[in-house]
Amino acid sequence: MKLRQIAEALGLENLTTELPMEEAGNVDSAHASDLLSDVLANAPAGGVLITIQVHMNVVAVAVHAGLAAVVFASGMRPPADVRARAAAEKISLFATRESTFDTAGKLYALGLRGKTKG
Amino acid sequence: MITLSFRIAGGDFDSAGLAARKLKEQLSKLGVDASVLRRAMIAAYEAEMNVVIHARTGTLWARVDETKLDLEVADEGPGIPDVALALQEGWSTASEQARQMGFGAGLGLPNIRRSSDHFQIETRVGRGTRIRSTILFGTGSPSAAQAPVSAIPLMVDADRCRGCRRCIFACPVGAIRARDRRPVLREHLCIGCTACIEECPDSAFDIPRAPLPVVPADALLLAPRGLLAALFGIRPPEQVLSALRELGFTEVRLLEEWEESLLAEARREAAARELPLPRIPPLCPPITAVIESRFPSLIPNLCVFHSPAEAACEEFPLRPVFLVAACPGQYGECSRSSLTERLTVVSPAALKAAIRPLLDVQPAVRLPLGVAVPHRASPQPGELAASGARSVLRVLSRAETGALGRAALLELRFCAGGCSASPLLGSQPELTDMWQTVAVTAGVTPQVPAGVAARAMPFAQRPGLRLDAAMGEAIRKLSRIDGETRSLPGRDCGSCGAPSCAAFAEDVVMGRAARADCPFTENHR
Repeated sequence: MKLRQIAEALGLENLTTELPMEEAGNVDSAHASDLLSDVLANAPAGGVLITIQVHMNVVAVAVHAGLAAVVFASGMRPPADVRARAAAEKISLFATRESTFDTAGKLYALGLRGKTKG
Repeated sequence: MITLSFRIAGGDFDSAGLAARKLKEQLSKLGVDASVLRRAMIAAYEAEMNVVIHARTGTLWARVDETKLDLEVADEGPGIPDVALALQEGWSTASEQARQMGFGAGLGLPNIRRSSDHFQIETRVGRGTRIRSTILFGTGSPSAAQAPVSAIPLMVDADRCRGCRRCIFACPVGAIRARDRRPVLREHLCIGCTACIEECPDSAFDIPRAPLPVVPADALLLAPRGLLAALFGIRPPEQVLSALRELGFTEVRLLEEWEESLLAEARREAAARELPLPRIPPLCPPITAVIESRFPSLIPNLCVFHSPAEAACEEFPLRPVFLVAACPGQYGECSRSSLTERLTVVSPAALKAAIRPLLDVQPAVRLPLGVAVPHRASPQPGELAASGARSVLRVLSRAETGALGRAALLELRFCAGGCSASPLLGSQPELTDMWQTVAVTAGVTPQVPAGVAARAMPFAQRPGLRLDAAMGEAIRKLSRIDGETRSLPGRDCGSCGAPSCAAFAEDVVMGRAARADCPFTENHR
């Protein structure tokens, strides 16, 4: 599934409009976590991260984990410098008023899956 | 091979992750495989975050060659009081600020360990922490990786050797063979002592003698017992200390300080009676090596601490340190695997060569350099001190069979008389104490006191002696060795190049020697 389709289906607000969403490949995996060590170790490459952490280190972790996009849940919004860095690193950022739980449920319904450990 | 280094500022959450990101750029250029890159980034980022969260300042080093990536992150910080606890998932001491940012989940160190093929952590409370992580390319399977086996840095100069064969008998563990009348080292058996160096009349054995490199500013010299006495043998003490200062050393510390700290720790363990007695502090690297290879049943008796030299090297994580090694074991132990160029291990000969020209010129200004004299605690009841190969091996055999009765602590040193008797120093061990009390500046109090360093990795049996990985096959080989030994004359003459008929029989069975090498058999060639 393409990022644009996901954004439209969930009504996500695009925070990095300067990035063409088509550039990211097919997205079929996601991870929900606010613990950055967990994201780094367990988030599937090429996937989407749902989090309520909005500081610069989220972008750093997303880069290292090779994520395609980050969705900030529960109405959380990152400052401008975080958005600029994400754009420079070619990571799409989205915001939603819905909770992490609801966002994850909707992504699951669209066919996205998490990584099973072990 | 390429080495990169990046500074990390503690508490700076805004630029946190920068070192890992720069490293990633470089690794990507080298075409490192994606799965390896991911593991490398987990290890590097987590180690960097640990510095940001917990420490004042730190450095990340990375070294890449064709087969592996070595990472090392050292910091000046609080250290970790309990490494085992810190390696448990979910355990964290991070600040509330760090936790609110999504750090401090207690996953950092476990993540690094899981991403590494080889992982090592050294830490000193109040001082700092050093993490080493190796990631192998290619295999992809972390479990397939083995901890690197270190070779003993004992050099044999065949051109000097005149073929007397004294060394094959002098070696206390039978690690030397004569081949074509020249000594050949069986590295897997060598324990890094000085017996062959001492015995050889032709000085064919030595540790690496690279000349002393340029001494950087604020460098520290770590000296084994007897080194100063050996140097003072050249010139008066004030002149020698002044020359050391002129070479660039601003501080000289005696390893005896760390020996005393380790002994004190071993005494505490002995008094607590919770661990197997007698306690054996790892004072001397060859002693530790001989226990790991020949007396594995005594491994639980070893105090799980780094040797005094290792502890001293780790005491100054961000300062240039020069260690003068008294034996191959100490040289190998301290020069092993550090990526930082902060630690330089040198031979006593190299230091002597560097200092000699300075002794001949009268310096315009004498710069003061004091050396602290360690206070030696008096031995407690139940302590047994032994030195010299024969004596030490006898004590260890008795300890193994429980024949030492109520001994609480063994203070063992392989060189007879301790490090000051090492032939590499070329000193007169009998004079060491006199020189140190007469010459060394009393009343100097070092800024950083000598401590102890707990080992994160326990001591383990060395596989060197094992005849075969499979026990059944090893048993068959043992019985063949037994048969061979009985068919040999039993003169232990050394003509075959092995120190004894039993050692020769083992070489024959293991395919390392030909039966015809024995001159007392019918088909001698």
